[in-house]
Amino acid sequence: MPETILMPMNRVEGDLEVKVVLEGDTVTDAWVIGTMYRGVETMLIGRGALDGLVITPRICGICSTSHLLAAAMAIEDLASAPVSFNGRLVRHIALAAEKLQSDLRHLFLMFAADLVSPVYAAQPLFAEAVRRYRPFQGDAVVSTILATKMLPEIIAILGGQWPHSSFIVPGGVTSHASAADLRQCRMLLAQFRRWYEQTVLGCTIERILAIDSRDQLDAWLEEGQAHQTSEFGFFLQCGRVFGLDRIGRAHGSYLAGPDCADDGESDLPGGFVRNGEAAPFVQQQISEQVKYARYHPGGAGDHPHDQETHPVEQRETDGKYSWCKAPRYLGHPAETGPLAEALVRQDPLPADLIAREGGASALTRELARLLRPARLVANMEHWLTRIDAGQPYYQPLDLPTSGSGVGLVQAPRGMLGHWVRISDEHIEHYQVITPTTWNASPRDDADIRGPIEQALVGTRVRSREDPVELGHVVRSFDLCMVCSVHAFSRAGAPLGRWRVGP
Amino acid sequence: MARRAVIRARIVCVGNSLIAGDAVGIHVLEELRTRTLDAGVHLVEGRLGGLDLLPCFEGCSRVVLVDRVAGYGRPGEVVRLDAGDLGAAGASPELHSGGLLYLLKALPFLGVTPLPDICLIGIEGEGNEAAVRLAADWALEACL
Repeated sequence: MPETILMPMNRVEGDLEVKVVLEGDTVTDAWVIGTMYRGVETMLIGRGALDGLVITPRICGICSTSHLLAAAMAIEDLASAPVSFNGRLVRHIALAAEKLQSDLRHLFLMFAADLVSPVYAAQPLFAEAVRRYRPFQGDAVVSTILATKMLPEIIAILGGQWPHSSFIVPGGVTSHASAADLRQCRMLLAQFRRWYEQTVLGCTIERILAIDSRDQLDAWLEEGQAHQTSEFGFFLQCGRVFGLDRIGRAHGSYLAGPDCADDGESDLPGGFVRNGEAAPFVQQQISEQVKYARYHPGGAGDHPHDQETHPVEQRETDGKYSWCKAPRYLGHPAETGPLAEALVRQDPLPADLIAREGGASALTRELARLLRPARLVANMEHWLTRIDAGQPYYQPLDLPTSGSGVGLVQAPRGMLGHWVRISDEHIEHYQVITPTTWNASPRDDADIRGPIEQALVGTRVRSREDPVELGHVVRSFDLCMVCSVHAFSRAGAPLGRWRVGP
Repeated sequence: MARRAVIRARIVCVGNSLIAGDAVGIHVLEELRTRTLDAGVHLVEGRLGGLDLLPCFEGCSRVVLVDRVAGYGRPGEVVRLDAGDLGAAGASPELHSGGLLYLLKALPFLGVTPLPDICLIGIEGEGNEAAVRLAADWALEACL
């Protein structure tokens, strides 16, 4: 007799429920339920053309820089306005600092906390996992909190405030980093690089970026104790022993938007990878579907420029189950995040891991998240050398009274898009698609599951009392439901409690 | 040249000014801005900061948090929670999302020296003008 488990998720930065059907010890179906309505799009209608810059960063306390940048870029696109080169670099350095902090805190504070579950008590690496990952006081936890503390300082030096910075504006940034400011940023970044290389990698960034296959990764692990005892080395071993490489297969489709700071090698052009085939990124191929989302299907079309956000009242009979819409690219569900970024960039290591292991797993996603800082640090160092403190950081622009624009950003959790339409100097239409909306999407109009729903199907659960495997799969997408569930409340479903129903 | 006063205490007000139900900490911040603070007392706009408020706990002997609370009194009531009360709140790691409570639980392990005395001035519910004024009074008293 199949049994349904409804699991309010904790440590996912917001409000999310996951419902799964278990037959025996295996998940046979899954639903990811965004439990709250966000409403920012509706709030913006009728407001001044630039109000998105103030309102949308409040969607999230973690990704506020990402939303601010996307909102500014949407206005720049609308105005067809060039952006100050210095300004572009400063924005992307701030965004990268936000990503560095998010990636490492997610892994060691949120994701790894599940690896100290009693379910793993008999595993040979359990005692060491507890020493490293124990909530609040594990070595990796404490080390990560202290090392990532310095990253917002970089944003504060460049932009004056974090979180909820307001220094990014259409045309560039309002701040003017001096040569001394830039030196200070370089110093902080060097300090972070030292910690990341010594503690997380056990080798240099350049060494880890040179690994281009699973065989080379295994050889790197065998090279010496420094690699095996580094946080990356231990997590890799622990993930394999605990079976994280065998759970969490999704659809095999990955999406990343363009991420261009420098017109150079450090840029990501964006793209869509499905079943190993890469296609260029075209934002017009994005659609939003609402058959199972609590919204009216109104609007002139499914594209975010046309899609409207009108909530429908909750009914038991209409099948709608989530406040997340179902975004699709070329009609397909797609996961987004550090792994998708790496695959779109055609980084050889993750591509080989996926090819050899039959698809992405919870472990592959987390390894990609643990390795992304290597590239980010190198990019930030390069961008800092490209800023000329003697040149302007802002280029004035004329804002048309009407028009439409799109701003796309690679936020910490993946592709973030803002679509805006202005009429008579007021916002007529606004749509935000956050990374988590892609990953935590409900089923679409063709009844195809969203990426996390799909990744949960087939997962085997060792203990019904502590189905920690489901947590691994869901958290490997680093959800941020504050973004994707369109309100914020301290009240809500009790977290950490299992409800087992018929 | 005037010497900068040593920071003795920080009052850290947290909340979200855009959400009426969660704005009361910020209202207290605005009230405190109209008051005269002792030279050694710094006022911090903590907003939605969680772990990133760690620097606020460094280099001072007392931190006074101001925030909305739930379940500690009647709506509009102002309460003071000290270290023991805060330790009991959110004792399970499952209740944390890397926010302020996570920081408070992790703080003893982060090597912060000296570890400041911490208390929270809480306002039950959305608050009102009287509660905001009272909370501001209590926050200043807690710095003494």
